[in-house]
Amino acid sequence: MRRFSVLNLAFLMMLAAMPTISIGALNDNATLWAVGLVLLLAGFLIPIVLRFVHLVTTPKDEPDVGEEPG
Amino acid sequence: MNTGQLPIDLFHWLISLVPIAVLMILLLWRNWKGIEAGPAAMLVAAVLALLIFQAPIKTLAVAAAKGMWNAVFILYVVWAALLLYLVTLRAGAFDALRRGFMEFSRNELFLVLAIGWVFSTFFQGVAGFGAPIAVTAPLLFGIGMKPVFAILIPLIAHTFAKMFGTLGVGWLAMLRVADVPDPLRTAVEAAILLGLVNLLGGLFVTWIYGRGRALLHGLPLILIITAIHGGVQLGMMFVNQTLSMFVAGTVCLVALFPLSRWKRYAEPASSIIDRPIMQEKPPESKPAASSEPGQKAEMGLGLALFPYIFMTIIALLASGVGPINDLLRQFRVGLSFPALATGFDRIIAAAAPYSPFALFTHPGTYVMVTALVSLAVYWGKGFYKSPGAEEPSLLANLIKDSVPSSIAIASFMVMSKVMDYSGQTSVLALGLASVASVHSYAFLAGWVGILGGLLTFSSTAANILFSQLQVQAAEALPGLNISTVLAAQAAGGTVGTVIAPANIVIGTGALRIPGQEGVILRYALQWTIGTGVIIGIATVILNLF
Repeated sequence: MRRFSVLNLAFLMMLAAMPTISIGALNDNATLWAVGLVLLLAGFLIPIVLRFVHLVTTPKDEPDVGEEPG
Repeated sequence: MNTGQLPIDLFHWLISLVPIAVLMILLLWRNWKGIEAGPAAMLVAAVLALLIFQAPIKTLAVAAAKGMWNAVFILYVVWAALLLYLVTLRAGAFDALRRGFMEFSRNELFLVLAIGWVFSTFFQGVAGFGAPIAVTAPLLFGIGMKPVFAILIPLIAHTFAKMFGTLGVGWLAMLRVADVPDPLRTAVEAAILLGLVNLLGGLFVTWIYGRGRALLHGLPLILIITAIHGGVQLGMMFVNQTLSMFVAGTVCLVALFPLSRWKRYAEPASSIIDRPIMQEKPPESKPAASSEPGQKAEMGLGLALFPYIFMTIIALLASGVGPINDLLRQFRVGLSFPALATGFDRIIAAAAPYSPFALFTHPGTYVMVTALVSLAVYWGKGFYKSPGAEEPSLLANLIKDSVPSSIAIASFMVMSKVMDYSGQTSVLALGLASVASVHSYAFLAGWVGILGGLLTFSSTAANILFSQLQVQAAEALPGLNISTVLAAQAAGGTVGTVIAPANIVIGTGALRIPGQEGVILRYALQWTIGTGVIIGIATVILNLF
């Protein structure tokens, strides 16, 4: 699986967490807000895990401008 | 601020400092990227909130969701600015801008100060949420500046404008949350301290551009720009505080034209030999239509500047014209959250909706509309070509470049909210206030503001968080003037945003150099510490009068 795809998935999980927690907390539905919290925490854990796990990085994953020159 | 029964002691103060320390250490000394260091520090803040600050898990969940929601306000600007950058880059507008700017003035230092300081300040007058950084960093990159410094310069140079910029939102927030006994004196003293921040920003930018020789060459220009920004803003305090920064920014922008005719700043400065922040070879845009036979070879400066002129006009119309602003502000969306009890008997009120998002008056919309209109114009004129089979589409490029910075920004905003709702932020500020004397608190008041700017990534949010605390501290220490302390809060809040990682990531996202946050932070930290000390001394002096 490509690193870029995993990061996209992580970000989508974070976005999905917002309404899930809001609806769950408003309606006192502990399962729902807990699911939202898990989604959010998992989304934030993924970039940390990726630091230590080498996934496929294609040239298309790299920014065009690159690192600071000189 | 509802502080409940928070424990104000050394143990809890040091514990509250841990998430910030983790963030700084990972970014500065372990060379982690913002996308890695942000989530790690956020998770540390959440664990400490649960274990030490007794925050219920539901409170943490709601704090995290609110933090994500706050991030959306910034991410919208980042995505829009990146789209605009990609459109202008692919159309070849940056080459045209570089050529055009060189015709306007052949003095590189003049251009650096004009774009990085004056234009970013002007833009802060009407728009916020990091838009001035996201818009001006690519322009500086376009004239040949190394990307790291193209971000650093507007980050520092325009920060003083945040208090009274965006049509005075930071000032209005302070008036709303704190008992301000003498608003005029507070505003005047804030303008004095912000004038100092402005001067120090201009001096720092000039120094990193070309060290002592650049300072000698640029000093008259720095003093003139400072006098216009600071003088007009100070004068406007007696007329209309909410428009003060906009008027000051506009006057200074107009003043650039006669200044560019001044021979000293019209021709290259031969005395400045070493320019460490400039690239030896300027970046090249992709040749859009220039290689196609039968089409225009080069874009003119007017067309290259079109996006920025268009954006300024729609931002002014949407923000500055009352009836239009009222109409556009009617469309607002937001998520609702219930009231919460936190650890140590703090209560967080219900919000329905929480911080609603006014889509049509948000700076991100100005930038997004500009990007789409510019795309249509450049396409129509033949400068923007569809990418070939080997190149990613515009949308794919946008997603690829924006997701890493988006995750980093989201993690910073969630960390900020978790620290706030668990009481860690209040413990840090109250701890400082509890051990201070009159003079030492006068010195530290600006640092409380800096802490707020660092933790919330916004001078407005810093004012909301700490203004009333500053009033309470001043009331508890006879001899401390409330207006002076609030002025220090205003100045410190703007300075603290310079080292707020989310603001740095806005720039690295816009210029597509993720992972360079630590390098920028090192420079930003030097300026922030120096400026914080000078603000502290100036506050002590102001408090004597």
